[in-house]
Formats: sequence, C-alpha cells, structure tokens
Amino acid sequence: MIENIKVFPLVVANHAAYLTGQKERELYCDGEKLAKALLYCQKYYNYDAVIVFSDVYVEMEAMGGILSFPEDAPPVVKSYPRIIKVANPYTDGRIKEILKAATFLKKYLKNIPIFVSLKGPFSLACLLVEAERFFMMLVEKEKKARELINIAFENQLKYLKAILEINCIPFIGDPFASGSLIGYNLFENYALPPLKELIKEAKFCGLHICGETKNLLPLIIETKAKIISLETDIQFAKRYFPEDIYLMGSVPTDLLVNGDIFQVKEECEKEILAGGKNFILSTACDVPKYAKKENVKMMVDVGHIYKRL
Amino acid sequence: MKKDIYEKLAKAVFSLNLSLTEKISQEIVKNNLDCQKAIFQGLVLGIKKVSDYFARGKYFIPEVLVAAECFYKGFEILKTNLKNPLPSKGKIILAVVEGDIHDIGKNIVKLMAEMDGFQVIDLGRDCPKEKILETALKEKPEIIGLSALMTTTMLEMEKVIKLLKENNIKAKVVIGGAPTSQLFAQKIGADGYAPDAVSGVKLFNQLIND
Repeated sequence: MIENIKVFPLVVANHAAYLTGQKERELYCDGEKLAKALLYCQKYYNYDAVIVFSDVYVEMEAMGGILSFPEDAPPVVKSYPRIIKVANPYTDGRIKEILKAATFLKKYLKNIPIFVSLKGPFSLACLLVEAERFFMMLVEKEKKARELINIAFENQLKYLKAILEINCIPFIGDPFASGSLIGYNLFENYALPPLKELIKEAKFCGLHICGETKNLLPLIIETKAKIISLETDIQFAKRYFPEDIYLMGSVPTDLLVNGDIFQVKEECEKEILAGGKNFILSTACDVPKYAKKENVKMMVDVGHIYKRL
Repeated sequence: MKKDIYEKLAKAVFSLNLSLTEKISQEIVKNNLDCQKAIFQGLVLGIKKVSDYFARGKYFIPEVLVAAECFYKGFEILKTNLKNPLPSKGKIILAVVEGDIHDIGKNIVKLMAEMDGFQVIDLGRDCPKEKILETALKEKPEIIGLSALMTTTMLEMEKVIKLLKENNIKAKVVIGGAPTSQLFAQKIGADGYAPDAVSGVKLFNQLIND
C-alpha cells in the first residue's frame, strides 16, 4: 500500500476545520468530528494517505497538563503537569479521541494508509515542562532531562502500541529535535536513542523532523524509520538516503498560503525530480490553516500526473 | 590583574558556567573595579563568542539560553556599580504578535540585539497590535521586530504593519519566525525579513545605518 503513496500533504485538524467550515475547538475535542473532517479533506483533494493529528499538546495533557481551548485557535497551556504520569491511552485526556478518529477513518478509507501522529520522546519531554526550561536542563541538569525523556518514552511506547492495535501506522513527529534548535551532539545523545527504540517497536512507521536537518541526516537515517519526512532541501537529503527509505517532503508551507498555482506547480515538479525513486511529495510541515485550496489541489494533481509517467 | 579578571568573566559566560559568572561579577563589584569594562570586556565578549559559535553551528539554542542566563546574572550584579549609563546603538521594540505564545525565537533575538548594543523594549508574547502602536508612539524606536511561529498568527503581522503605517510610525519593521519568508515580508510591506537571530541583528545594524 505504501508504494501507492505519491502525494501526501500533511493536512491536519486546523486546515480540516477551515475546509469544512467548523471551529477548530470542535475538532480538537471530538474524535468523530476530526475523522469526518479529515475524511472530507481526503475526498476533496484526493491525496494518497491520511494523518490523524489535532495539536501538539495531546500527550502532554493526558500526562497531567491542563489546557484551555479557544473557540477557533489551537489549545493554550494553562499549566504544565505538576506530577507527570504515564497516560493510559484508552482513558486519559484526548488520546482516546485520536484513536477513535483513526478507527473511524480506517473503516471508511479501506485502501488508503492511515497514519497516526505521536510525538518523539524528546519533543514530548520539552512539552512537559516548557521548551526553554527543558533546553536549559540539557546543559545544566542532565539527569533531570534524561528522567523526563524516559517518562516521555514510556508514555509514547504505550501510545504506539495502541496505534498498532488498531492497525494504523505510527507517524512520529519530533519538532523540538530540529537541527534549527539543537545540534548533532544533543540529537545523538538525547533525541536519537528513544527514537530508535520506539521505531524498533513500531517496525514500520513515519518520522518527521522539523526545521533544518542537513547536519542531522546521518543520525535520522540511523533511526531506521521507513518513511522520513523533512523540511530540508530534498536534492541535498537524497544523497544520504538508502533506496529502501521513502523520503517525504518538502513543499514550503508558506508557498501554499502566499504563492499561486504556477509557483506551487514549479516547486512540486522540482521536488519530484529531486526525490527520484520512493519519493513522496509532501509539505515541509503541516498544511497551514489558511492554505489556498487551489494550491493544495495543484500539489496533489502534480503528484498524480508524475505518478502516471 | 584587572584584564585577567575580565577575561575570566568572558570565559565563564562562554563556558556556560553560571556560578562562576556570578562569583567573578561579585568579586569585581567588591574590589570596586570598572563595571562598564567588566560588562564589555567580560560579559559582552563572552556572549559574542557564544553568538559566533551559534552562527557557525557549534552552539545551539540550549547553549545560547544558558549563556543568556549567565549574562543577565552577571549584568544584574555589575549594574549596581555602574558609574554612567551604557551607550546604545538604537531602540528596538520586539513582540510576538497576538494569538501566538511561542517566544523562544524572540528571546534569542532580544539577547543578541542587547549584546550588540541595542536597547530592547520587550513586549513579550501574544501582544495586541494596539500595544505595539502605543509603545511605538511613546518610545519612538528605530526598529520594530515582529515574530510569529504559526501560519495562522503570522497573518496578524500584516495588521500590525497596517496600523503602524496609518499612524505614521517611521520605525522600520523586521519580521521573523518559522513560517515567515522574504516573499511574505514583501507581501505585507515589512522592511525586512530575518531567517534567524544572527541575521536579524545584522539587519538591525544595516537598517539603523540606512
């Protein structure tokens, strides 16, 4: 089924809310509404795989954080967990809503792979205490930073198993392990080991690392993720990638908002030519809420035209 | 001896050693040494090396944040014994636009601009455009820096720029943040776009000298 994925823009809750005329909060809090909106988006644009993602705080909330939900904007942190606990994915917070959404989509999209997003343990550790505090811990309180990563890993392992149980594919996002934020050494020492463990358990999964990752590419390959989604220049990344890894990326998201269909077409063609075999045309990160519909459509069309060639 | 102690202070900042920075700064104050020199030849020199390492990809955000902690700790101690106010290259207002609470990038820009000799007025995160205008009218800055991390909130930048123009604010507006770009800056009428903190401070210097 994976061989059939040629175009996979990362359409998530906020763009789905915009496209279906709903308020964001409704989708963040209700798995069925999220699933129906994502289903609508897939039918509307006709892309080849779906990712279930609402917002970055899902796991952190289930582990004891408290959020507030503005009507039409992403959740806001009211307080970080006072006592951090490993969540039960079937009962705590909104993880169950994500699983509900994935189960629903699995039922209605039989021939399309359903990915479920979960955070890499490094990024989840960041979210459990606030990123700046966590980053300073990496330098000043190494032991405390490791403890946080360990509990984040434990949590994600349970979540990952729940995703596998419903026959969906885990898609690990590690936005704070970005090359723009931490260097090679910190990635190797802190972000990579729990990622490897998690990916080993998943056997087959996707991995997305935000920001500039040129320096991290050898380590990212070491994770053994089968699908790797990057913001980095595809032509550059391709040189490092073994043939059996599906490389995904990396249409700049601001182009979908500010560009026109001609610029999008040109960019997509450039990416496809650079990506070569086993390349999946995708966005560099989530499709922005206010991405122009015609731009996303153009991206999907270009991907499908090249698929036939 | 004096020169030595300033060098030691610079090294303490560069090696991200908070307790040593604190100890040396206290020693400088206790011995009634020149605190202005200690700031420029110690703290600023240390942070410039950090900034240089950051630009060359040898230090990253965690190291910069800890270096900033060292700098501010040392500065807090040394400023108690300053004879004259520190010279300033110019005034900058920094804000993360309304609806956006992500301020790591803005904080790094603030730190680097301050280290480079700018006076920074930090309006924090989730800042309403009216507050930016009000501060600009009162403080008459040379530059206003706007930041956003989300594609939804970056649209707020255009509204800020429109409001500033309607009120004849002459300050140059620089934008930055992950989803922004040169294309977007041009589209919304900003005077400049900075992809990262180091190029942001370079741009501030260019715009101040224009």
